[in-house]
Amino acid sequence: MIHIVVALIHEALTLITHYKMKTLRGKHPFIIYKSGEITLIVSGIGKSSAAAAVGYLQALNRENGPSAWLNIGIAGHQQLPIGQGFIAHRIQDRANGRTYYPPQVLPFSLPSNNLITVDCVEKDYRENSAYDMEAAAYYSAAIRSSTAEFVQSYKVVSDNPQAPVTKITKTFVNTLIENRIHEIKNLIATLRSAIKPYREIHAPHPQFDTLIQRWHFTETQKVQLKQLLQRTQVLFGNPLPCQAQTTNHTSAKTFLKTLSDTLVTHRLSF
Amino acid sequence: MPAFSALYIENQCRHLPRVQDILKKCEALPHISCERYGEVFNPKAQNFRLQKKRPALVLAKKHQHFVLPAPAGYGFGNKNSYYFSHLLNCPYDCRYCFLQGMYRSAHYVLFVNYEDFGKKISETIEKCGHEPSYFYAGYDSDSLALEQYSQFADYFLPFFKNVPQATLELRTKSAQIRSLLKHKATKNVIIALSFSPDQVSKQLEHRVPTFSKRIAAAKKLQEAGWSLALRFEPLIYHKDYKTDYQDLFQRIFSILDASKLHSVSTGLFRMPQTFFRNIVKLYPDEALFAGHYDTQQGLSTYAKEIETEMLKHCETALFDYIPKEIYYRCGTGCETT
Repeated sequence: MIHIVVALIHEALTLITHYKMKTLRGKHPFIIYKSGEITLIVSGIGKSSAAAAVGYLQALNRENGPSAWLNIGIAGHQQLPIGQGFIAHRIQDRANGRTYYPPQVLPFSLPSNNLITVDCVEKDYRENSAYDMEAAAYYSAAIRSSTAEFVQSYKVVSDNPQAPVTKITKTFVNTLIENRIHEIKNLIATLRSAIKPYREIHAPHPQFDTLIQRWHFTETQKVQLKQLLQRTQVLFGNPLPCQAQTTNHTSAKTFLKTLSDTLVTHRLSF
Repeated sequence: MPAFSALYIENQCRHLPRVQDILKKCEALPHISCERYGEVFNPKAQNFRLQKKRPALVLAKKHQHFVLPAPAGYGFGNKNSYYFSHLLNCPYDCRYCFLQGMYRSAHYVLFVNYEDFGKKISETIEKCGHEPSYFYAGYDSDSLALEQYSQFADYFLPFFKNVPQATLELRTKSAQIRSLLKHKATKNVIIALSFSPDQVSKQLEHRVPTFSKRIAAAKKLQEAGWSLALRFEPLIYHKDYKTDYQDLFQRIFSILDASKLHSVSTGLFRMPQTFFRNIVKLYPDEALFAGHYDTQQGLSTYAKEIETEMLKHCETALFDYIPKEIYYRCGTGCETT
């Protein structure tokens, strides 16, 4: 599951076309598109909009397991040429000084750069850095539900001291993203392939849902069941070992005890 | 050789020659400035397992707690035992290592102000007066594993050569010994090498050099006059552990001269329960943690009878090769290298 957050619809058009995304039906406070495992939300400009959009997607997807997050958009830069794409390796919120360091451990093969999130459009480009208006808020919101390695921000340079922000048009924004679609595709593919095994490792045992229907499990017992099933699967694979077959048991308690006993007697072999 | 994903550099130490040297060696990597290493290393929403695939190197300055008392039961010195950590985390990926459960990040943090470490070590030695003192450098990392960048040996070997009343233990699984061999063997520096049976190593000690490379390195060191110690920590319980450990001892002592060893130790699998829980969350698919563990005084351990049986067997097997006088049991709650 990958959630893409953009501020402007013109930053999204190329992605919508490329991934054949459809509008998510229903009443939503944001425009949301979806295609398979990719969701895209158009947040609007600014930190509070970005944080709210992330929060909304988190609420919509709370039952869906771990997700990756990608903020895509345009940014100004003191030195980089127009059209250059990069990943943010350091995001600073200028208003409060908070700094975030999205871990660069996935093999993105992209240049990376500093990014400063500002509250008003940056026209002075005082530091050798990129400037945007959402990333810091997006990042701090997204890491509440996902591990930081899966929360990234990708920007394309739209303005610099030689080509000021006032010249940016909607068509120009669309073109900037369109010209970088190959990079964005690779980025999404990398996130996808990294999160897939992560989701699999943390997925509940295939028999978990059936078992909790069979007997009454308290909430604590459900947690115990999840852990014991996972450990049993690691040591014995699927299906459950014969002593833990459901037909031999009459209650959640006896079933949990059998699973636990099975693990006690197991001897690891290499 | 570790492939870092990035370099984080604390602004306060960027100008140091040791840092400049590392920056030159890693020119192609992103160089990311930070105020304090904790901004990168400590945030909650990080995943040690994901980071372990491509950790970054963080260059930082340590400000306090340079030298700490060694945990009870750790090492061979009874009194005046200390440890210091110039490096947090290690390039090897041993599944039983407590660092996975202790730190949120798998990035390496290299504290580059060796001179400050040296000053505090000197002060500690002075406080011990005429009594011997012991310093362990492999508690939070592998002492030699990032040597190419850290050049730890180049600073600390000559340092300890000048303080013969103190003993330094370098603990390592590395086979890179050039940095040691270029120095003359130092009497009061012990190179402690950790070994596990091949089967265990293949399954649990990821990225660790093979037994043959490491034992060859050990032999070279011994021939060059270095004082070696052997560490069998933690002993890993498994179906064939008796024959596997017997085979391991036989292979080692057919190559190394047991009479020249400084010490040999075993240690049981013991880990603070909170670290153990964190590791299980990170590696729910790891067979090592899927079996049953007891809890003894806040530590996750094997069942008492298993511990007794393993120790008895391994000690008996070891005493076929070494005198009891150089043997000790490591009794700390954590295992790294």
